[in-house]
Amino acid sequence: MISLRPFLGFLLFFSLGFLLVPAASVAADPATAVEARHTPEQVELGRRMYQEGILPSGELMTARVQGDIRLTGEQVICGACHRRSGMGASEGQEVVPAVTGDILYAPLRLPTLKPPLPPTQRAAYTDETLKRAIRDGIGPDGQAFNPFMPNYPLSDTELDSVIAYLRSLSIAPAPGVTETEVHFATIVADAVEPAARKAFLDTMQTFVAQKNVPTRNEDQRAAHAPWHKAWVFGPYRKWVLHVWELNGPRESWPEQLAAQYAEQPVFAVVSGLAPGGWQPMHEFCEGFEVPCLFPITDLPVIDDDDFYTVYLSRGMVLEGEAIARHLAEQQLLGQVIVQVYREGDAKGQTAAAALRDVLQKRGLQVRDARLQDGAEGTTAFWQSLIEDSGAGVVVSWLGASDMAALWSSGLPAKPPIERIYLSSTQFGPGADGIPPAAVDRVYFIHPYELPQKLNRLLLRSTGWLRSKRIYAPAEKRIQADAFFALKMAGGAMKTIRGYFIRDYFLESIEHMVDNASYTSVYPRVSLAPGQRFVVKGYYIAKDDGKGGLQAVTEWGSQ
Amino acid sequence: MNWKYPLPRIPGSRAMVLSAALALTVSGAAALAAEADEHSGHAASEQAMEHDHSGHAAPEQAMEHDHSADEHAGHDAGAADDPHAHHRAMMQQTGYRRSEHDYALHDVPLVDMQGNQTSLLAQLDAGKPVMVNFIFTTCTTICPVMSATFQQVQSELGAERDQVRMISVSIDPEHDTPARLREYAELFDAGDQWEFLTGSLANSIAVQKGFDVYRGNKMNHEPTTLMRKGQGDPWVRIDGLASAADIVKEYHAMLGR
Ligand code: HEC
Ligand SMILES: [Cu+2]
Repeated sequence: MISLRPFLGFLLFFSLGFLLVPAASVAADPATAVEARHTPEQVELGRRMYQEGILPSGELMTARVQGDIRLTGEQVICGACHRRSGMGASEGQEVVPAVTGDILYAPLRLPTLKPPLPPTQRAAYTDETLKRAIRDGIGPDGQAFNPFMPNYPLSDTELDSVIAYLRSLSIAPAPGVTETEVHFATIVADAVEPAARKAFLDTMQTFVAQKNVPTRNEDQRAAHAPWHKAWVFGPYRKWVLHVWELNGPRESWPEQLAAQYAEQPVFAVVSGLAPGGWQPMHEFCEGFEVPCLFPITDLPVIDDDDFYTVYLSRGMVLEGEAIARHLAEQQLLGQVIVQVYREGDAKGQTAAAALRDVLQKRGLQVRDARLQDGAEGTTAFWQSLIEDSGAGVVVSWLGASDMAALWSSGLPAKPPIERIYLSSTQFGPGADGIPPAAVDRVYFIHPYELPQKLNRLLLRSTGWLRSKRIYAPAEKRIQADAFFALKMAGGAMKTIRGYFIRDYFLESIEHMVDNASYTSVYPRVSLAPGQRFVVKGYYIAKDDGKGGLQAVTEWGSQ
Repeated sequence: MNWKYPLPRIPGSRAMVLSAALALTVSGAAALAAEADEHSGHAASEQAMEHDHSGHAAPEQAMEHDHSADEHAGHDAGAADDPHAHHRAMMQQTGYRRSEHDYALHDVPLVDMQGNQTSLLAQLDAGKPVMVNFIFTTCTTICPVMSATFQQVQSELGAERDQVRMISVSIDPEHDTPARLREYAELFDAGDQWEFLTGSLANSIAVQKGFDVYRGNKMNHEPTTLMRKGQGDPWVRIDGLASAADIVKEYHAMLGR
């Protein structure tokens, strides 16, 4: 029988040394040390250096790499390499280490199988050795760093501020995480149609329920982990999914979200479904610093500076821009271009605005025709529109029912019309109802996988949805997008292991997406640090004569 | 499957613990085998899928279960692939590695930073010595340093820089539009001799493969600089982070000066 004694040290070492002590010490010395020794002003000055590359004097920070390569401005931002969370990252063979105070001020041990205590790989830093590291690129044991870490010619006072900031970066679990559970929320507005809501919530709740079935006795293993597996099972938490229902007018949503959060803080928001723009939810997540993963929306907030919401697609803006680009490539910009959308339809309006913006930047005009609220797209409407404008190109952001009168009018088959663009998000992804005489002039903006390839792409999720008896074929995209968000959340939870830091969770997502084997309804997804939209491409497509679409452009090409 | 996640230093060293432990203990070895099984099982069910065009056969039903289960079991193929060992190797290795190659490069359509159509050979065979590297504008680790190196190289070359062509090929062409590349070029004060190229993902990958720098996806790329004196001459390949002075030295050596 194997003696347990030698392993005991490791059990303590792994579970306490790595998982509990750093977390606990946040509450103990480093935290109090920060308070005692560093003022909030110092921490803020340090934050500006670390996250923005700006010196207390207001000047840009500078640094050197490899002795002779000078860096400045955005290139020297510590957070670019060590990341906003301070948890580091890896790219290729380069590993950028974590630099949160509690990690730096503790010895880094490289454990071996020899009990009782593993040797240290790196001694704990002191303020002095840490200053030397940042200034001269020398580790606490005197060894020179990897040349990727720049040398910063900073003064003692400046370094004190950087250090104050590093010490303020915490590896304590974020709100929404307890010893046994991690809380997530998803968001659904009351205006979502019942069938869509059911398909969505079925997917979310069933996935989480399955995740919590201890198929491999994770919870027990977490408690009685063999020493060498402590880190694998220690971070296991049961998922608790809260459905945040938003009721009534949009103006009241921010308050409702804040109230839900106050009742039970969540670690992250996963997916979500609400008509209209995602702005209220986006602002909530930004304000409360809660990661918001892949809401199902065609109206995301597009803002390069925001951090917390990661979207699938740029939605209707992508569609508007895609058509502008195609018009240019096809040399159709000399034509009279008319776009049609329904008044009060945020999607159509947003796409139209995006198309208009791009053309205006080129000094070109697009004529807008609005279908009044409540009015229908009648033959008379189309007739006057086309005859009055002499439109060669019609871009329609309308749904299929509004288009029916145009098809039956015979107008699309005759001059002056050369080209009609439809949004497959708005109209539907196929030439149903379009008369043969016109179909050749009709092009679709289709920011998804082609319809005839979709079932195959989604086999993994449909198989699972079917086996759980919750498959809703009419809500394909909703279920696929929700499943994608859940898979990504699961993957990121695995990556961050026991470090329940929200920024680190998002940074893991940034690194994971390119490896995703499930891509929802999109042929490809991709992300990188700072990027917030995983769908980069689209197809311009035509009817393929077999009920599907045939792409005339390449996906995601410049 | 090549899962590579960012690992902070501590989890990284724990990853090493795991691989060491698995290699050395019986139960660990068994666990490793179990993981391997699971992977092959998964691959098998995926293959089953490939052949299934009906969309509702048995294999897919069974499949998702173990797949989502593996997320909370915490197994991680990346754990065996110890980044810390790489890190150590990188640190011990002083300077860079130089080698010479004859790459059989095919002409690949690309787009320059003005949005004009161009091609790989049109860019490379401009009757001048060339230097090539690979970057993406949102990369936070290697690329800023690579680009700062090129910036420093152009300033060390001084007036001589008009005789060389410097090319940075985007490995994230879906995101790196010509406009984004122009912004990036400005950040590094790129002179007229320094062009940034984008295009389609497939074409960017084709170029990377042509130079043997493709590493599966953009998050895995490595610092490599290539240079060539003229059409028909061998490529000088510099792997690792070379200083600007080193690159200029290699460049002059290549020119025979
Ligand atoms: C271009 C990327 C990059 C930037 C920018 C950068 N670092 Fe680093 N840093 C690294 C790398 C790579 C290492 C690993 C060096 C080694 O261990 O050989 C490192 C190591 C460190 C270490 C030592 C960690 C340890 O465990 O020994 C500290 C502390 C550190 N950096 C702080 C900073 C600070 C503070 C800034 C900004 C003032 C900064 N770094 C900017 C890449 C970077
Ligand atoms: Cu890079």
